[in-house]
Order: sequence, then C-alpha cells, then structure tokens
Amino acid sequence: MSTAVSFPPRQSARSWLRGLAFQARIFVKRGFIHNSSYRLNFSLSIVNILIGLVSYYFLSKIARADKLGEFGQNPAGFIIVGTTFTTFVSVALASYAGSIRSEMFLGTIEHWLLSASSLTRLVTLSTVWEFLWPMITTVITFTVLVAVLGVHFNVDWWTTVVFFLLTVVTMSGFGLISAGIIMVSKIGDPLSAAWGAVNSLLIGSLFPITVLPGWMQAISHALPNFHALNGIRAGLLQHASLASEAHELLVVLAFCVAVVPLGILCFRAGFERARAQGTLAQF
Amino acid sequence: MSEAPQPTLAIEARGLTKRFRRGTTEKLAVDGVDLRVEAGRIFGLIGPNGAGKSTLVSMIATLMRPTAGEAWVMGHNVVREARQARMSLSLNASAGERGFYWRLNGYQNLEFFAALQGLNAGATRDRVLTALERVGLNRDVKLRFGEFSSGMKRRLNVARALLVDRPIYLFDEPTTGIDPHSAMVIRNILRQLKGAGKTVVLVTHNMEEATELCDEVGMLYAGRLIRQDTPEVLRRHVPSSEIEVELRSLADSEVVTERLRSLSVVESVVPYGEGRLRVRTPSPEDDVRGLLLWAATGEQPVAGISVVRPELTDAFVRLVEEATGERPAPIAVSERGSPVAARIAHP
Repeated sequence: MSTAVSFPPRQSARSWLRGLAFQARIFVKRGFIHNSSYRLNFSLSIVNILIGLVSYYFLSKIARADKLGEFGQNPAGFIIVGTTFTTFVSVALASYAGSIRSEMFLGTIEHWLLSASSLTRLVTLSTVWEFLWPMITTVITFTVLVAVLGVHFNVDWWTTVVFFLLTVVTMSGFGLISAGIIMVSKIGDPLSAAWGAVNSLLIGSLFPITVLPGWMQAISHALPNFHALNGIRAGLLQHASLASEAHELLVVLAFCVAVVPLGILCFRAGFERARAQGTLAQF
Repeated sequence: MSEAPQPTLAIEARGLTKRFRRGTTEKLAVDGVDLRVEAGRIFGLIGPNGAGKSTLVSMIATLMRPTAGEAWVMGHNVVREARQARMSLSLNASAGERGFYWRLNGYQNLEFFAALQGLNAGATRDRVLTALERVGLNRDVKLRFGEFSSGMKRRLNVARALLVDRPIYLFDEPTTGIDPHSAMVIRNILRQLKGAGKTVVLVTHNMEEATELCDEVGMLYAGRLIRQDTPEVLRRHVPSSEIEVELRSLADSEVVTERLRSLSVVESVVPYGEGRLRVRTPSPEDDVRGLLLWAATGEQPVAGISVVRPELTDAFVRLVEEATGERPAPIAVSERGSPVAARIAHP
C-alpha cells in the first residue's frame, strides 16, 4: 500500500487567481440565493437603505455649513459619505465573526475545515457577498442622490479607491480578531461593539470632530478610521490627489500593516484553541 | 519522538486520549486508544452513546487536537502533518438536520462544497452530478435542502463525502434514523468504496449493519477500545445456546415440538416466530449434528436446522463486562439469529 497522498501540483498565479475567482463567485451565489429567498426581508433592506440615505440628505439641509469647515459647501455629501463609510466599516468588522458564528450554527464549519482551502481564505471569501451587497446599494443610492436630488461630488477615483481598499483591509484585520474571539466565546464579541461606538462618536462620520472636546479630538486622531474617512471624503468631495492626502494615507497604511497580520494570528490562535478544546463544531 | 507509523495501516492510533475540561469538571472522552485500521477494508466503530466514537473520529479527522497520544492517517501525523492527514480522508460527519444550507437546493449545496475543495467549474459540475446520481438524488436536485426528507438529507451528506477522491472515508452514523431504502443506498456505496480499494471507517450503533458490512470492528466503551477484531471472531466470544428448527409447515409445529421433547439431549422447545422453533440443548454446536441426523433419517417435517449464532451486541456486552466489570445495556438494533447449518434435504 502506498502511503503517498497526491497533492495538486503548485499552481501558477493565473490558475490560483482563477480558482479564487471561482470560489468567490460560489460564495456570492450562495449569499444571493440565501438572502433573496427571504423575499420580504430582501425587498425591505433595499427600501430601508434608500430611505436611510435620503433621510440623511434632508438632515444635511439643516446642518450648519460654518461648522463643517472645508466641507461647508456640501453638507449632504459630508453626511452621506460619513454614513456610507460607517456601513462598510461595520461590515468589515462584523462579517468575519458573523460568518464563523453562522457556519458553527449551521454545522458546516467542519466541512470548511476539511476542505482543500485554508479557513482564513474561506472566511475572507465569505465576506465578499457582505461587501458586495452594500456596494450595489451604495452605487444605486449615490446615483439617485446625484441624478435626482442634485448632491454634488467632485471625485478623484484613485484617492477614493485606495483609501476605500485600505480601510476595508484594515478593518478586516480587526474583523479577523473578532472572528478569533468568536471561535472560542461562540457569542459575544466586545471588539465589534466597541468599534461601533467609537465609529459613531469619534471619527467624524456624522459631524466634524472639531465640535468635540480637545481630549476626545486627541483620541480621534489616534484612530485609523478617522484618517481613512478624511481621505475618502477628500477623494470623493474635493477631488484631492493621493499626494495631497499623504499624511492620512501613511497613518492608515501603518495601521493596515500592523493590524492585518495581528488579525490573522488572533484568528489562528482562536482556531487552535477551539480545536484543542474540541468545540470547533459547537455553537 | 515516537516510533514511525506502520506503512500498511490506513489509520493508526497509539494511546490516543481526549480529556475535556469545563471549569472544575473533567471528562475523559477517549482513554488511551490503540487502533489499527488496515487499508482497503471496512472498519466498524461500535459503542453506545457517549462511548467516544465521534470524538475519536474527530481527532483522526484533525478537527480535534488529542490531549495525549498520537494518530496517523495514511502515515501522516494528525497534529504535526494535519493538512496532509486531512487531504487523505473524506468525512461524512454525523450531521442530522445540520451541515447544509437550507435555502440552497441539493445541487447548489454540493456545488458550494465542491468549490471549497479547489475544483474548477467544469470538474465541480461533473463531480456534483456524479455524486448526486450515486446516491439517487439526481431527480431531486432542485428541491431545497429544507424540503428534503431525513433519508435524502443523509444521502446528500454521503454525496458530499464522495465529491473528493481520497484513500479514506469516515462515515459517522450515516444510516441512523432513516428509511430502509436510503440505508440500503448508503450501504451499497460503502461496499463500492471498498471495492474501489478505499478504506472505510463506519461509526454505527447498528450491530446488524456492522456485522453485514465490516471486515473488522472496534468496540468502544467509556472511551476505551475494548476489543478490535472481525465480527465473526467477536461473536465467538459468546457461546451458542440454542438451535433453530425451521418447519416445513405451520401445521407441523405441535408434532415436531413433541418429538423434539422426547429426545434426551433437548432441554426445552419454544415457538419462535412463524414456523420456527428454538431448541435449547447443553451444547448446541455439538448437538446440531445429532438433530440433523434425526431430522434426515426420521423423515421429520423439518425444512432446516441451524445453530443460533450470538449477535454482535451479545459479544459487546460480554466483552465489556470482561474488560470493565460493568454490564452495559445492549446497544441498538440486533438481528435475529442467523442460521448457519444445513437445510434438510428431503427426497
């Protein structure tokens, strides 16, 4: 008897990418079928997002332009970019832990673990649908805001895309830390809850941080989301180049480099702890 | 560093132990199990609920880290070479109603799990369709998993295990609580896998199933592997105590009972189902020859005579008692005694 197990030969970068794209497609398909099968909920979520953003538009009508500093000419844009940013940050923070919790609950996690793909890769792919859905609704909403409600954007695509991707990746690092915690605790993730509170209060998503007391402003400056949001706002509303946002970019990049490996480490540590305790498939 | 695993074994465990701790309470789920599973055979793991069967399988499948001891899958250590060990096996976990996405249909579910195995789109489609056909679900692919019957869910679970070609297949109670047709389909698949040279580990409560399918059986009780051997050898641990007489006609019951009772070797005769009698003698293995002669020469209205073999569950109870001093409750399904002697040739 041969004890050799045939492993697939090392893949070329192209076939690796093709495999990744296929898996991403399958995850998106699963997400779409699952969500659209609950038709009422699916329809309501579309209506809710649109109503929410249109509400913020009208809210911005009463915002005091003199308090918005450099964005004073565009209060609607200021608030809408802030709330959309918060949505994506929430998704990045919650979707990793949410995915692990859901797979544990469904009893599918052990089949993920026994697959040929790493758990980190699969958990990351499982968040693709979570990002895709708000992305679609954001595009629709922004189109409606520009075409129907006359909100003005002055976009530098490079700046916007680079800051957006960096934010998502950095927050995904925190998301992986959350997932590592969930792997052991099963329910109750203090990190996401804390970040949610910090986001709504300290990063300037709904109001500029200049209205906060000095010590709170100091905390804001220490948060990656504050700098990321500044970069995205500048890219979307002021046509700012990457060079002009170099300071914000470096801060977010530094957080990204530190947090993502930490997230992977925490996730693996949570996985190994649950494997040792024998609770991987438990919920 | 321990000795290298034996190359002829598909699975080997030495002193494998799993201890669960929750606060101050501790439970020894698997207690120093030494296991040897030869390649290309069906190995049954039997024992009552809580015996440690699923925990043992989880450690072999690398889903759980052992507290102590070592295990190898196709020569790969389940801790140090977990990925290689994992890629050598396919697990059909005891899923029950869980383990799939309820809003996806059968095809979509399998397509998803095939994609996790790194198959491309074309291979995924082929493997999924083949697996669905093998378990007889190819006409129900559009039903959502939530609309499947229990038997269909189990068959889909088996189909998932068949998506990959691995040397070892672990099946954790694949036929528990399902209809006879689905159980038959699954048992046939296990035989096919063995026929294809694969090693199958079957965790089961069903003694009849273990006797019928397994080349070798490991008896697990309170985390300990009590004995590992072929079902035949294990059953021989319990001596036969009865002979079964099959009548040619129901109407002959009374007369045959009377004639049997007149024989000096017969201690008792009792009816046992339609057209059968159970005869107790001091030594059934020896006495059956005399009865066969009696039936053939005396032209008795008897169709067959056989020694009633003890069931695997009897052997389990006996061996556990010997090993632990405890008398366990007999586990799960048992078959009626299987006749092993000759049918009577009447002119």
